Amino acid sequence: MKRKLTVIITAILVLTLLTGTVAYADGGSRIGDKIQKAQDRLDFLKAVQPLIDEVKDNRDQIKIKVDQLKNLRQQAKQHIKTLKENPGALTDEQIELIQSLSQQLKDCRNVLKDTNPNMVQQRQNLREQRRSRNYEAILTTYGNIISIQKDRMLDLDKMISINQQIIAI
Amino acid sequence: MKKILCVSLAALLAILLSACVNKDQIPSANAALQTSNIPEVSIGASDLPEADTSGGQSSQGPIIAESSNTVSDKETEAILDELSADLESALGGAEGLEDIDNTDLDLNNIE
Repeated sequence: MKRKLTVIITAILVLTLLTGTVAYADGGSRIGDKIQKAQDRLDFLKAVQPLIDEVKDNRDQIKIKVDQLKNLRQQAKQHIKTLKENPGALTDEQIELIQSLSQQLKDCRNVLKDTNPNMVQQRQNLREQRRSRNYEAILTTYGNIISIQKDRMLDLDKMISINQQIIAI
Repeated sequence: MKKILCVSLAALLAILLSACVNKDQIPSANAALQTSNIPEVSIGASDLPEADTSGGQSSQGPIIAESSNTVSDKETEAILDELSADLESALGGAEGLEDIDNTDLDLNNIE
C-alpha cells in the first residue's frame, strides 16, 4: 500500500514538473518572438528612414523645378509673341528647331503623364503594406517611388532646357 | 580742179569702205559677248532688289518685303501657336502630377 502511494505521488510530481517546464518554455518562446519583432522593427526603421528622407528631398526638388518651369514658360510665351510679330525674320533652320522643340515638349508631357498611374499604384500598395506591417514590401515600394521621382526630375529638366532654347531663338 | 575732185572721191570711197568694215564688226562683237560669261542686261520685274540677309543696306533701292525663310508667314504663325499650346500643355502636365501624401511618409503611422 505504501509502495503504491509512493508511485502515485512520484507520478504526480513528475507530471507537475513536466507541465511547468512546457509552460515555461512556451513563455520563453513568446518573449523570444517579441524580442525578434522589436529587432525587426528597429532594422526596418533604420533602413526606411534614408528612403523617406530621399522621397521628401525629391518632392522638394520636383516642386522647385515645376516653379522654375512656370517662370520660364511665361518668358517663352512672351518671346513667341515677339517672334509672331515678324515671322519672316525666322530662318528655315529656326522654324525647323521650333517644330522639333514642339514635338519634344509633347513627348515630355506624355512621359510625365505616364508616371501618374504608376504613382497611384505605388501609393495604394504602400498603404496596404503599412497596414499589414510588411516591412520588406514597404522598403521596395519606397524604392519604386524614388525611381518614379527620378524619371520625373529628368523629364522636368528636359522641359526646362526646351524652354530655355525657345527663349534663345 | 580735177585733182581736187579725185581727192574728194577717194576720201568719200575711204569713208564708205570704213563704214562697211565697222558694220561687219558689230555681229562678231555680239557673238563674242554671247560666248563670254558677261550676264545680259535686261530690265524687268526680276530686277527688283533682293532681300539683304547680311544685315547691310542695299544701295539698289528700298526693300519691299523681307523674308529669311521659305515658309509662309501664316504657316510660321501656326507653328508658333502650336509651340505656345505645347508649352501650356507641358506645364499643365507638370503641375498635375500624382503624388504620395505626407501621412504616407510618417513612420509613426506604421504600427
